Amino acid sequence: MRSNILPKEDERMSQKWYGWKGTILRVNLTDRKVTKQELPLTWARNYIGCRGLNSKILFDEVKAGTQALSAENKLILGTGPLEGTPIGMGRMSATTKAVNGRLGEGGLGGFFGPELKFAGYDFVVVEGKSDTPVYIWIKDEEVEIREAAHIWGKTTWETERIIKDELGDQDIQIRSIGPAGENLVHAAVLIGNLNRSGARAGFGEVMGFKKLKAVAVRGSGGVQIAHPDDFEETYGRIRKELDLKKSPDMWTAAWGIMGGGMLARIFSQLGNLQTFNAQRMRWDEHADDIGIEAIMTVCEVRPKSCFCCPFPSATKWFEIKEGPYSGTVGENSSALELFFTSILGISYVPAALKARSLCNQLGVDAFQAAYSIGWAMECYQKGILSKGDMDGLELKFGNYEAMLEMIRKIAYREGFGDVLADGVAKASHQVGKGSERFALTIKGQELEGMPQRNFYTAALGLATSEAGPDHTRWYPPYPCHPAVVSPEVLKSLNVDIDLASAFIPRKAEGKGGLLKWLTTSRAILESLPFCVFAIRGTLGIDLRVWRDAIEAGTGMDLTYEELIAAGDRIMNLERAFIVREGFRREDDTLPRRMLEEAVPDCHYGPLTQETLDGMLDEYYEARGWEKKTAIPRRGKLEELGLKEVIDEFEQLGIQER
Amino acid sequence: MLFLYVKYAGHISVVTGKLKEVIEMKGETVYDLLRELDRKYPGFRDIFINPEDGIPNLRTAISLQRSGECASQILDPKFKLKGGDNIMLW
Amino acid sequence: MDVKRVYVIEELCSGCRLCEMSCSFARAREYNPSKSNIRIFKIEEQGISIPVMVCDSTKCEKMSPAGIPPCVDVCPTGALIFCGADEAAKLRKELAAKRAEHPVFNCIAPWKFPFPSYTSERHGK
Repeated sequence: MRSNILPKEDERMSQKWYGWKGTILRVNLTDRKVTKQELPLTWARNYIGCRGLNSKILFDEVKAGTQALSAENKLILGTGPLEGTPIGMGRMSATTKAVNGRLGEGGLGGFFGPELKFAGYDFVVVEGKSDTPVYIWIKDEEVEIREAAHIWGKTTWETERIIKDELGDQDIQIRSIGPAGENLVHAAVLIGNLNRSGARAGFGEVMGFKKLKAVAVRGSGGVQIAHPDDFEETYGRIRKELDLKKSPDMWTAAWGIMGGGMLARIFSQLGNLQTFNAQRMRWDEHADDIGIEAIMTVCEVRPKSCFCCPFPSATKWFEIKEGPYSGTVGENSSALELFFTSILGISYVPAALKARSLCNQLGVDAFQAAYSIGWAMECYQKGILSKGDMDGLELKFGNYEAMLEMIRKIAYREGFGDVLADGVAKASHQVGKGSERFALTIKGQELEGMPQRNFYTAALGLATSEAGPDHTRWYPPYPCHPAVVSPEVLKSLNVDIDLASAFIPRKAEGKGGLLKWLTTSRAILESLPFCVFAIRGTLGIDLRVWRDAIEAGTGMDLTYEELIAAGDRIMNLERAFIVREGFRREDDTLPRRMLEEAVPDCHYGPLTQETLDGMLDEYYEARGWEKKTAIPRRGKLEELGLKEVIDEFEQLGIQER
Repeated sequence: MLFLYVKYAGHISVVTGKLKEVIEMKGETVYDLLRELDRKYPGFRDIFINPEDGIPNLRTAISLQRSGECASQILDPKFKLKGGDNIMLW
Repeated sequence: MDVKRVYVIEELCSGCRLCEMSCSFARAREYNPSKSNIRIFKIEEQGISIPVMVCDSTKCEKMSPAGIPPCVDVCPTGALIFCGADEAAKLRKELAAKRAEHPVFNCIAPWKFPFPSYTSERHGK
């Protein structure tokens, strides 16, 4: 087993890259130099691309103790070998070191990643710091660092319009920060295609610090395929698994046709809908008002997709046609508008849609805004904060006008917005008076909406995520149905999970082993890349089709074992990154509300520290990490060929106890 | 006769054209409910149950929320329902 | 004879560009928009995506195994249809009727919706 998965020596792949473009673009904002580096074949083999390879670059080049807001920190935009094809679609990864040392990695979709491949690059690594606002313009081989003083301060929507007009091409793909990133607002996001947002784990702030307003790209090439017939056949297999009528998965049609907004009513029914800052988990009285079914009737909607999405309309573009927010346009991917409804007690859905668009324009993270404002509303409810403390705004549950004003204040760090702009963890420490208990964060980052007390897989996944709460690292939180893949096949694939108990939401046993598989497989899939929201049926459990996709697309003959090892390697390297920064088991925790408070209207209790500890023990054991500290064991690191991590741990005095 | 609160979520709400309704039915099992719904919306039962073998297929979900209890997924079409049960289908 | 060709229903286009990729792949075995005979023009601020073809869609260079142009075969929403003019008119009427009954048919064609729909009663307001 070991010799198969050790990284191989560098070898030429017949001098031509398929899938990958074979080039890392490095842009230094301090000395304004641009260099192109050949992608080392060993990196491609061992980390695949996108998220995995981003993490490799980060680990190697941003050492422990580096300040996040500094010239030494790096911004890495990564694509994978299958990106720009119907299999890899348009997901990309944006990675940096977050302000508190977390892995600042986030995924986002849209069309930027494929365009970067068409231009001839797999990765863009931004180093240094500019004194004045700039943006990077990549057009095939030509790369320019252009002045951006005229777009500094503009919203992301204005930025896209200005850049396209000034460069004279409507098909330019852009990723930019809004005023929030410029103002170093915690969790500021990267926006592209107007409404694709992501990289909330610290990227926006670092980009703002480096005075990088945007990256724009246009490519005239394409993605070349090693074995086109095999690739076409593999694509057919994947599409078949996602067929709206036949996919063996209860979410495929619902998600693919209606989109994440259908979760409002379903989650309320299941007791999974975070309501009033997660004091309650059902909102049956208003669930019908806030779901996608309601949105479709109060707005004009159009289907909207990311690059090569197989679903007809997982996202919808909307325009509000009447009422105070008439004329507001935007998109409602992945139910992000839900965050401005049940969490804040708001049932007037046009206001939630307006909030979503406002966040996108200002570059504010919707989750951060929702949970910060939700916390403030609860503080108001409990008399911990008054109107006077919050600039005269009556931030009470249900007050959507105050919510919209506060989102703007957060982006511009105005008044009380400045307190919330540092994130709700810091805000609650500042305010105190017991408000820390309902500041819903993990590792300093606001939650993302998955229920925890009723869904232990999600809880464990959120607690252990190296990037802070990020469900794409284990999503979807269920394997395929037991009837679809037999125990014999699972055994032959080395997938060690008990399928039946995986579906029992509040059964702690088995969740550690399940999470190990989920995180390993998603690490692989996010590195190809593949959109986790399209992982349905057997796609997340039988990864042979992905091995076939890699070989057909790139020509690289990774074995199934090597592919799984790559996922394991990525997870261990990412854990090593945060261990190097001082994170330990104590940081793999949950908000106190989830550990201590029951949910009476749903008849389930708190998760409890004891239950969490049991699941953590099981997870670390499965991962090969030391139970007391969550430090990857030497034996595990050796198995994966991570000698540099062992050496560095030794140097830094990080040892197993 | 049983009175049930039946809700349709996701694409199933497009199949029926409704978000929810009260269903009055004879019989007491989930299978009986699907048969009743099939009467109103021809083809409905086959969306949820494989015609060949009569077991619930894997492409849909039936969730029960009974007063005083947590919601749970129903996998057995012979499961007995009670009056006032809250069932969501997607 | 009613010659079949590709008709575009612009309102159903989600902008995914699968058609561009499948056309370029069918013609050149690579994924390259400049090698595709179909391109998507976007007005992103208005959520509009417009398929534009530069080919004679009656005689596609390489049909899909299903015997239809690859762009039509791969389109998830039904924005592209391959048929004669009469059939196209019929499908458009069907779309308009269904759309009046349920707003989801702004986002997916009735012929792509996988199950029967009894949307005689419009829910909502």
